[in-house]
Amino acid sequence: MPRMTLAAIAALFPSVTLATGMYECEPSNRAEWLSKDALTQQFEAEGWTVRRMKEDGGCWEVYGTMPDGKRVEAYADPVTGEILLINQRGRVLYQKED
Amino acid sequence: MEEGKSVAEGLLHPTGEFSARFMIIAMILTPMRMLFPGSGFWRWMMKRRRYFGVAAFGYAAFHTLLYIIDMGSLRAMLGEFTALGIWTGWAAFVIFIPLAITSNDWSLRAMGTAWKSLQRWVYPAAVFTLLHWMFVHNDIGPALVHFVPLAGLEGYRIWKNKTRTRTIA
Repeated sequence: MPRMTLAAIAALFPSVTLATGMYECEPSNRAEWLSKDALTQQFEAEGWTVRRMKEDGGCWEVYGTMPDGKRVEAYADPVTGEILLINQRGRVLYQKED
Repeated sequence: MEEGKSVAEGLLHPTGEFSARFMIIAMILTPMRMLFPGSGFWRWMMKRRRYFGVAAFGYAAFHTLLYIIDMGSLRAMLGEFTALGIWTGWAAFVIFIPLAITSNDWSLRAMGTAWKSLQRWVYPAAVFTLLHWMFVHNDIGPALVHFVPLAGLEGYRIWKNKTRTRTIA
């Protein structure tokens, strides 16, 4: 294969390692994690609609709709349920200050 | 969750993915022909390239319709229009429209050399599609699985054309 093609492909690969997630949570004890139902209730109490959620980067990644109708993905602390990051289709709407 | 909405949401990703795949197939035919000049398969595919392009548009149109159904309101759609993962998708779809409309024998004949210039807009459409896919999912892995081979083949094509020009000169 031509060298330039290989170089072009290689240049694209370092970024793949960043693909694991938008956000990393602090390591936490699995046993202390909120259940999906508990976290859904917590979000709904604040006016959100939760469509589904999955684990990502040691956080709960919640797919839902904000009280103002924005379709977003939110990263929540899996133990406290605190919202750490809100991402709307590639645009960061909120990120918790460290 | 309303049943209709979850169906639309479930089909949203696969329709977009198939649109991108058909676009990529249409785009790799020239470099594949350069790689395998004697292959009857790639010649056969090349003759049918417009069908792949139109299929890419068809899935993109269905994908856009599902998105509209899933979002449910113009206000919700406008509210996220400027997000990187969204406007790039619209941009790719808008480019697809004239490409699909002119994918017929009559347009090909009537437009002459302008036809090829117009169809070359598929390159920016591909870049927008890649950005749309990456940012709407916040995950670049699956998008790159599709676009790295395309980028590699386009790189090969550019390299090949350069060396050919050099040989002639």
